[in-house]
Amino acid sequence: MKTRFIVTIGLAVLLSGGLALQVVAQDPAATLKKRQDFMKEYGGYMKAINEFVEKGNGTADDVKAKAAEIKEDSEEIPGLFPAGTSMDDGVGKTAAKKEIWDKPDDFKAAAENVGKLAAKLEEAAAGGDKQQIADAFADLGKNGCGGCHQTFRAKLN
Amino acid sequence: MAKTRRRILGGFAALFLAMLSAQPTVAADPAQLERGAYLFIAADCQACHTDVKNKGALLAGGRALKTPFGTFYSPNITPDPETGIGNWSDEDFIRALREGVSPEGDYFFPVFPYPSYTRMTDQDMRDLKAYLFSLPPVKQANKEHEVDFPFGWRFTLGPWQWMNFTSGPLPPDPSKSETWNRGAYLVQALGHCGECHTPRGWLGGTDDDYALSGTPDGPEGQKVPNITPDKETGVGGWEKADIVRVLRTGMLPDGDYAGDGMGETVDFSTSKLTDADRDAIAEYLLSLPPIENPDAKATRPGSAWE
Repeated sequence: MKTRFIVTIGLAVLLSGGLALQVVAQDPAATLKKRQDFMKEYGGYMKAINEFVEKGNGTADDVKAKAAEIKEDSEEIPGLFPAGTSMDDGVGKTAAKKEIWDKPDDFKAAAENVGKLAAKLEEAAAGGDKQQIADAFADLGKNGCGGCHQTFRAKLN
Repeated sequence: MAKTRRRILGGFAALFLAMLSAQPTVAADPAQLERGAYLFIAADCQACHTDVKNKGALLAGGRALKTPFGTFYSPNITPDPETGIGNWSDEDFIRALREGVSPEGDYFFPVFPYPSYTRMTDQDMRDLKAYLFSLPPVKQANKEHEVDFPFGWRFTLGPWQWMNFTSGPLPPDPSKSETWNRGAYLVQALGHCGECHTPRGWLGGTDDDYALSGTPDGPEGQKVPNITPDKETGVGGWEKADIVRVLRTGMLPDGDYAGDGMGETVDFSTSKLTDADRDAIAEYLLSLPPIENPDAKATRPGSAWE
């Protein structure tokens, strides 16, 4: 009886310990690298789409594929920012402002907005109209990427 | 008989009142309002005078601006006569922008960028005021600044002005093109770019020998990059189109998007300028003497960002 009690407590401690670890970043350095690589990839997509919009390099289909990637990946954004990985936490070089954790709902909404605006770009690209693509791209950049950076990212370098 | 006289008097009174209330509309013709609306965008009044974060009313003030000297709250600049600037004459408004002095004779703290706005022309100031007075008045009392001792003593601002401030409109440079001069006016006067991009001395005045070379200690503790055309640390490696693009869309040459203060500036101001004006800004910036500042580097085209 007593043994069973101890085992149960032990299991509970193990479980809750595991859960706590999941919420707080397990390895901040790896987290920072992961989200910086993610954002660099996003930057690459945006730059490539811009080449099409400004210079006509590539096709509307390329734009559509990249917009779809941005849309799908946007769901990962909130998960890239576990607690304890802000620029004030001393875990390495990061520009993530503490507002991300102070206003989690706003942050989530900003990430969702990226997905929504990317979906609009995907739709415009499917239609193939250059002006519509340019407008949807500008909207995604300024309000999706820039909108989130305005509140939640500091300037480094 | 008496009744008729009273009626006539009443008629005169009504006419007089109508003339009084009609005055502002007479002063502001549509062309002036249109010019004022554009100046309002170029001078980016909205970003500081609206508490956007807390969904405050347009231009009713209350936005907190954290500085090394304390926290300032922007004032109400709607035409409400009680809590805004509704009682200001054109001359009051010009004096505020040109000399940094309120109608009551108080010095403004230089968190209000009058050291830049002083370079505007009289006509632009009048047009801007006309536009502001065409917007809805909002009754919202101003919040007291929370300024650290002894910077809160307004009388110290007189000597401060004497040491740090030159009043007067920007003189055109006839040896340069019209586009260049327009760019200089947009950067130095309306856009007040130097208020963030120029480092400040210990008294909080901009250090104009290092104009636009960036600072690691910008407003709200932000790092503000060097926008002089230094090859290593500034925008010397940028194409003119790269500058135009960041102003129009916020996109930096490496695919990153400007955030924080510049994100706001793009949103409220530079994305709404004409193409010609963005071109003029780029041409002017790239013509400046390059200044090296490794503490506040600009994005380098082709570099990976962090």
